[in-house]
Amino acid sequence: MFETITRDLLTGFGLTILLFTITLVVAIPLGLIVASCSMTRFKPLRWLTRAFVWVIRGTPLMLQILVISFIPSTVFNVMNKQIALFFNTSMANVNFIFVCIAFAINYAAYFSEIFRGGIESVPRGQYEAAQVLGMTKAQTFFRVVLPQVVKRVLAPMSNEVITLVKDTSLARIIGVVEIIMSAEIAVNRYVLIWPLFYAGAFYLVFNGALTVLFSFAEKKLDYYKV
Amino acid sequence: MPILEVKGLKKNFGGTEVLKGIDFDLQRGEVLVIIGSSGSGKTTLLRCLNFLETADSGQIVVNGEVLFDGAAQKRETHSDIRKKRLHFGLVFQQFNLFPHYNALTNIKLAATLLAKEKLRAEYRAIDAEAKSEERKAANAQLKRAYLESVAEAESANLTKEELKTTKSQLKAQYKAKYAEENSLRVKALKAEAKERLLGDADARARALLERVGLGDRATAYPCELSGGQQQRIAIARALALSPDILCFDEPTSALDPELTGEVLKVIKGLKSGDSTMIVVTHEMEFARNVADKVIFMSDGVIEETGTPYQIFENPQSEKTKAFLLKSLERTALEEERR
Repeated sequence: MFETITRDLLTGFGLTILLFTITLVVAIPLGLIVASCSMTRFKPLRWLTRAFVWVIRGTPLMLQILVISFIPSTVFNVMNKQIALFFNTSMANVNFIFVCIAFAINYAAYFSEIFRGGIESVPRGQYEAAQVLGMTKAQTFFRVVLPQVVKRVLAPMSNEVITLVKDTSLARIIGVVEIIMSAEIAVNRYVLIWPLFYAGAFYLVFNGALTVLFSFAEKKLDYYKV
Repeated sequence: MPILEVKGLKKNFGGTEVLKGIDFDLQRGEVLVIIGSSGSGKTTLLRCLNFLETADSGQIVVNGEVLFDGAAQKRETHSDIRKKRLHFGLVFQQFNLFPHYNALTNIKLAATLLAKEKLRAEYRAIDAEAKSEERKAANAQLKRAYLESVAEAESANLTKEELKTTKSQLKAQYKAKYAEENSLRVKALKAEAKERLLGDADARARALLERVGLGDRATAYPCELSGGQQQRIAIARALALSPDILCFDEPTSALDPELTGEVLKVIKGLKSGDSTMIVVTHEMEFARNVADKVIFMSDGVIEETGTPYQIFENPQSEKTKAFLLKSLERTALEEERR
């Protein structure tokens, strides 16, 4: 029984990790784009972006997952089953894609605020120094500003990333069988409590590894002060 | 011809006139020192010269080329301004070194980026030449010669085996020749351009480090250096682009008094070379020693200009006299305190 439950939990944890990875890979660049839009001198875009960030940060992620998953059927009158058929895939995969979209948007909004803070904290003198040295805007950003932003955002990012690991459990709301849902199925089937603790252990180990990784990165960037 | 002419430069900040029409010129190799109390517009003048601020009207002419003309209607693009900036270098009061790069990289970064830009342009030119009509014609000639020699071999009385070997020999010869005249040549040209533009970047940066007396601190990060050392690195960084005119914006004002000497010494050392410099400073002793020409600014205008002797020993304007007296008193006070 331990083996069966372990296997089920590992399957669920696989989905958790996949969601986690996809969210990070999409939300970090997207967050950078949103951050640059929220700092642009073109005011309509700036206010639009800030309103977007306000809405995303001001409403629960669970609500956003639901909204995204109901948009095709309610707004476009396309059933999720049809989508699954169209792409020749399962309903579970379609739901997983919805969750990924919701997570990517949500985390992009959070990341964008972290990036904005990081970018705005780089002193103006750094830009001016780069300018008088004849650097282009792109060179200034990628060679001078971004490396300093990375150092500044590392600590708040580690917080967000750990929260993301735990937020993935919200995916079950539209039936994505991530690790907690797997554990709950086991609890119901075998009338046992420990699968829940077992699932918790997965989170603990993974977050422990992330913490170590981040403190390693921080140490790596310790060679200079900003 | 003067290397720099500034004509009627004006600058407003939200209704406050900071520069009310500045005129001066500067010969190559001259050192101009600008003095004046805070708020007189000295820093704004330097920032306008470096295009960190855009002046409202007036002209900036370098080597006879009009870099800025307030009367021009055309809005300039970033890359236009970028090119113009390269005539000037600027050393900031707060150094503004890049904290995440070591001393050597701080110095060579911008120069290397520029060199790479030039290199890309040369690569494009080389590639374009390789595809040009003349090249094609030359290649066609080569090919014709090859085909002719093949036809010759075929018409000669050779056994099948012999013909085969001759043909493959001819083909190998043709290929080698083709490579030599094309891909190999392109490669060699590119390698030469790369060596010429980037080859000595490190050596140049190291030479500049030596010049500011920090040859042994190449791998140190700014946070590991004293303020005086940081400012010397910043000077080397500005020199790395060999600007026509090097500007200093109160280079020692953010430094502890015991560290100002080393920085001033480096600036003085540059004078013996033929750098043209504009120095905004409160160090009167230094101004007197190093300047070829002194400008005293007050309330956005040039109140008085002349040789150090004229300004410091024989000032004409009442404002200049008052300013010098005050700065003398301040120096005396500081010395007393020490």
